Amino acid sequence: MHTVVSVTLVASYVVVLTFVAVRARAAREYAEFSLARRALPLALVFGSLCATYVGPGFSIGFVGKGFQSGFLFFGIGLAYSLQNVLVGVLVAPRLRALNDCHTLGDAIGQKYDRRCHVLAGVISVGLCTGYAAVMAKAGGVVFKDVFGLPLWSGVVLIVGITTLYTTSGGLRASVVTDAFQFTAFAILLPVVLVLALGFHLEGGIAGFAERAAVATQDGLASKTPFQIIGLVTAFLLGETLIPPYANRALASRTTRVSKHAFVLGGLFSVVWFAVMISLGVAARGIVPAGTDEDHVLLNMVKAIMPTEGYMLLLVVSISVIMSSLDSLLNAGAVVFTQDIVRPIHRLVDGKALDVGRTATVMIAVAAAVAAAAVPTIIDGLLVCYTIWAPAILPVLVLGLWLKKPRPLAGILSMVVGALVAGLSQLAVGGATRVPAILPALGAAVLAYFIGHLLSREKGE
Amino acid sequence: MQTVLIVLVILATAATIASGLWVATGLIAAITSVKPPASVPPKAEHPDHP
Repeated sequence: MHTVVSVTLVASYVVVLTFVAVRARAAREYAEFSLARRALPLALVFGSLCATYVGPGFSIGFVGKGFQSGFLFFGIGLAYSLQNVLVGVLVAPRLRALNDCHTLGDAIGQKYDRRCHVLAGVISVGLCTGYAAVMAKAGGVVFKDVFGLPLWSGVVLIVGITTLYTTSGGLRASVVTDAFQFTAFAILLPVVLVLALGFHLEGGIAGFAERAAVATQDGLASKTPFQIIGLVTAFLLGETLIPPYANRALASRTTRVSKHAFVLGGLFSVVWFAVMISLGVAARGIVPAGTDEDHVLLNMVKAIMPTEGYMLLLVVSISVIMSSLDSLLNAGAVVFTQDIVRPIHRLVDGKALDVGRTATVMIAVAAAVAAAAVPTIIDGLLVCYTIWAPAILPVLVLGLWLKKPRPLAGILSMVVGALVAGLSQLAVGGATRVPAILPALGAAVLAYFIGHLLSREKGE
Repeated sequence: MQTVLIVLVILATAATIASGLWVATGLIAAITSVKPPASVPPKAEHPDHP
């Protein structure tokens, strides 16, 4: 009986997802594939934005962090919320207001020159592939834990399904399926928390508060102030306007929609982090101490819910992962077409659509292969954050705000930021990896101003 | 303090579920309003004498 209900649940989910993806229609033009004709309404941009950032790190990872260190990561996560609000107020409307702009590279190309455009494209495609590899690995882990499948087959399964609908429908399919997946996990995971608090909470409210206090103190004691500063910086800047977010800002119906989606997305992250961390704290009374962080949520659901509930969680976990993966694949493909191929070869619309579709498959294959090299989910994300922020953010933000940005400044900043971030991580290694973002950001900003001054002296 | 904490957690839970429901209504509106792409009209012939 349990098996029948479980299979029905999973099958129903797949049927509804397929229906939603089919309703999103196959993209017929490049403008549809890359920016969904710039006609997305607020609810869809907001849902898709949140579904993209709530990947395995901000769900499975945050529950594990709540379990280990209580509300410490809620405080750190607020830096991420602040970043979204600031992007919404200061950057997203300016980005949306640029004409004929499909990607961040386009924006950088408009403000600097073609070399900066292509370089930003190369960095963006690399980062999208890296982030996608982390999502693929997370998908493989879920299938391995639930069905006992080998890691590689779980990776192939999740990457294969996601690639199928993203290649066909482009950004609109990605956004519409994201909204569906967002609905699934934004309702189901809080229900798990309600069940845990209502029926499985040893010691009642007092017990929950005590566990939260003890875990938070443990968490604070396990980190140096320097590590906390590094983490706050990584959460504040690491995911700022990564290509899928930028695509959503650019594809919004109006500048107002773009602004409101980011501001609401930032506010949603506050309540989401509170729910995830609370789940982790509640798990301290349910799951044995010493459980691996990435397995806390799965083990808690196994302990407190019937088999059907466990299957439902599988569906939720896969939703969380697919909604991030499809956005990364689409964004990477659009960036490849728009920032690397188009500045070099003139492409007519139909050809650009073909290149975009081929690039989606290529990035998916590369991510599936690279998934084997990903350490833990959070560590994998932090590696990507550490490179993205220094390599792109100073160039983008200063370019949008300065009256006359200089190409030499852009090139120097991107190259120095990426190199220092990469080398810092290689040099300092695992435990102290997080703060690598600080020297890299400093070096990128310094390189920018050196390039700016040199160009000004030359009168460029 | 304990009561404040639990009330905040419950409010966060309610806000999360409400967000999910709001996006669901937006999604339903979006997928029910999808129209088939308009066929391209044939090019109008240029009149010889404008």
